[in-house]
Amino acid sequence: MRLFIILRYIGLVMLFNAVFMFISFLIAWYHHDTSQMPLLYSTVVVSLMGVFPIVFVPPTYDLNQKEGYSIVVFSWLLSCLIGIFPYVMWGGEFSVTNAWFESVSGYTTTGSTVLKNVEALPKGLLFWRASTHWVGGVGIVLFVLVILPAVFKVKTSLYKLEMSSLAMDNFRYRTNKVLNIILFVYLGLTFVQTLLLWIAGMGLFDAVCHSFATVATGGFSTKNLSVAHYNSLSIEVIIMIFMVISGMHFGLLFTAFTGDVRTMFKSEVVRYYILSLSIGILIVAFSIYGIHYQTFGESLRYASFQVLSCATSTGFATAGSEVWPPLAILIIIFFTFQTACAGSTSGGIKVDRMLIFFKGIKKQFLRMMHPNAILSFKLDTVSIRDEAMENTVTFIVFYVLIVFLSSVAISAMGVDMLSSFSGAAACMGNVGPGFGVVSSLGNFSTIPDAGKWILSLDMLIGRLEIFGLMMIFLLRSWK
Amino acid sequence: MKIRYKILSGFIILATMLLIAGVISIIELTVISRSVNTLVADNFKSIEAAKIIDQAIEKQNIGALLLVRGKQSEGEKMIIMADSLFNMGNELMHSITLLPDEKPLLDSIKMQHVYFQGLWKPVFEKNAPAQGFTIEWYYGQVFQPAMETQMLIDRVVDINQRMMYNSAAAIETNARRAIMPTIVAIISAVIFTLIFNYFINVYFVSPIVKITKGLENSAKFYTPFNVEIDTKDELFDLKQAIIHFIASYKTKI
Repeated sequence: MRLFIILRYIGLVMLFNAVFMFISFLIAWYHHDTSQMPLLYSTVVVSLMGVFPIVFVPPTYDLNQKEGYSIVVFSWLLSCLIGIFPYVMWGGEFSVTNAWFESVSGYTTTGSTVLKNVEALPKGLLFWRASTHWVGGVGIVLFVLVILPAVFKVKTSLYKLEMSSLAMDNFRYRTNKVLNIILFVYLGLTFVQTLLLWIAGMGLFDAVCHSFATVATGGFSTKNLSVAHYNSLSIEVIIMIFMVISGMHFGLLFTAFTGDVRTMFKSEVVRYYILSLSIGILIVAFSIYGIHYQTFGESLRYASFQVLSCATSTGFATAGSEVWPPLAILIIIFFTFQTACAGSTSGGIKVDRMLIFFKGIKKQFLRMMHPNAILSFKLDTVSIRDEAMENTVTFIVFYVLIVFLSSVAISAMGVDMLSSFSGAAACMGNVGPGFGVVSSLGNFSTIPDAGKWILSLDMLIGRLEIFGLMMIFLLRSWK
Repeated sequence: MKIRYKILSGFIILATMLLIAGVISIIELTVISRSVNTLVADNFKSIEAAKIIDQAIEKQNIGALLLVRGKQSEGEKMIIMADSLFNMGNELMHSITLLPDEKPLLDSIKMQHVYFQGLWKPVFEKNAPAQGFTIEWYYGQVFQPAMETQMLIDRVVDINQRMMYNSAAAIETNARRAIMPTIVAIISAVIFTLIFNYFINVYFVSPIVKITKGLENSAKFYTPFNVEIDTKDELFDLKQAIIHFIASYKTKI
């Protein structure tokens, strides 16, 4: 494994981050705010650190899988590390632990915040915060691979490691085109949503930041009350639509937007996704009707937003759902685990795995009823092998186990059970808000520092789909 | 890129990081210095001036009560002292840079001073009213306006205390902003040095070791001089020179 080549590509990733730091600095400079120096200095340091390996190491196009994997994982970790520079240098509520938590939450598109007063942040830092979402959304590595022609030939090995193993199955195009599709859909959605939000009455700066957070299914808002601050139905509807879209497979979106929209609904995954969301919204709406909201219209409005926000692992809020009835809370927790489709920027177990899991259960029952039958199941015309089913079950069990262990560790620090469990689930699923003290309109500031480090680890494990991060410890034994 | 430029770029990068950290620290420390100056020079002096005027009001009240009691000379002395303190406080207040909220309050205090000076004019001119000074006169003419003046002074003190607190908080923030770039620079420099050292090893030391071993093997075992140097730099040129040398040496033999 050639460390110098890994360093070169990590250098490219750092340069990419430096571009966004510089843009944040320009915004800070325009507004004459206090984050100018921290952002400028961070830009310079990160640029210098990024350019240095590129100066030393000549371009190399052949990467083996180990090297590709190391680039992906270390790019994530290093991006989270350099992401704390502007925060710690600015100060305020940002201790080193808080800055690390906020940075990891940004890059993993979780959206959990430690800030008690988001609006106290200067514009430059708010933009940087939103940028970490946007960059992390598709994965830092993918951007580098698509933008920089010099690394064209290495796209394949890096891309396969970056995307969820399930997401690749739906792509019918060559890898180069796949990456361009992701970029096209991503940029397109961001641009259109920014425009619509601006027209709906949101300021341009807020529209950009909220679009970054929506398309990346992140959830960092520029306001303390999240989207509830605007109290605007049109803004909420726009964000809801884009949350749902951003939770879908990007390849399907591309096909739908460039061809026939109906092809999207031919997918079993999409049908289950929409159906489960609809049922969840209705259950929650009925459970809060008459108790918290007097009209069904109001219940539906707030239930829709909260359910969609958690189900797509975005994390915006228009209501304090922690006071809702237990049924509503449990439904939302279910969606916190399930989240959205593979091939999107969402985290969590993912709809595809849930479908495979349910089909596995069905297969098990049928096997018990017809022991001699030869059973096979498909997911969107693709046969599901026993190995895929086994991988899915293992993933889900491991996922739930990590959430449980994290909850135990955090509750041992004195945090109440609901907060520790929902917080761990929200971080693992890259959703953002949980319940209790870490509710939709709350924050993670009261969680002890050790708890924040555990939750940060959960975010990274969730974003890299558990095994993606764990394998780093077994790198030496790879053959 | 040649080795010399690679190494030079490494040192330039290191120096740049440390230089910028230093500049930012100097800027932030300068801001701190200015804040401390403002804190001590202006806010503190403002509070001192307010305290002096407060003392003047107290002495004035005592002087007025002495006059009511019929102690003419003691009362006059106290009032003259109060007037002198009031002037001192006023002058001090107007010698410093005022906060925006302070100015209207100080103007009101000055107007009160003008009122008191008018009130004590008969005393200073030894031209006391025929009926003397009564308790009703004291309550209506002295006590009430004195209370109003003291309220104005309390507000001035409050404004300055809040300003001092905000300045202290800002100093703490600026101090942190002065320290952090240095800490970041030090940590980055350490990591950078390790990476730099690694690259020196990969692109400088290892090729030299390879060339040395290649030459030794070639001399010992008469094997061809076959060393792989990937980079197009001085070490590649050295390898080419050695190959040419060996070839021309063999030809001469």
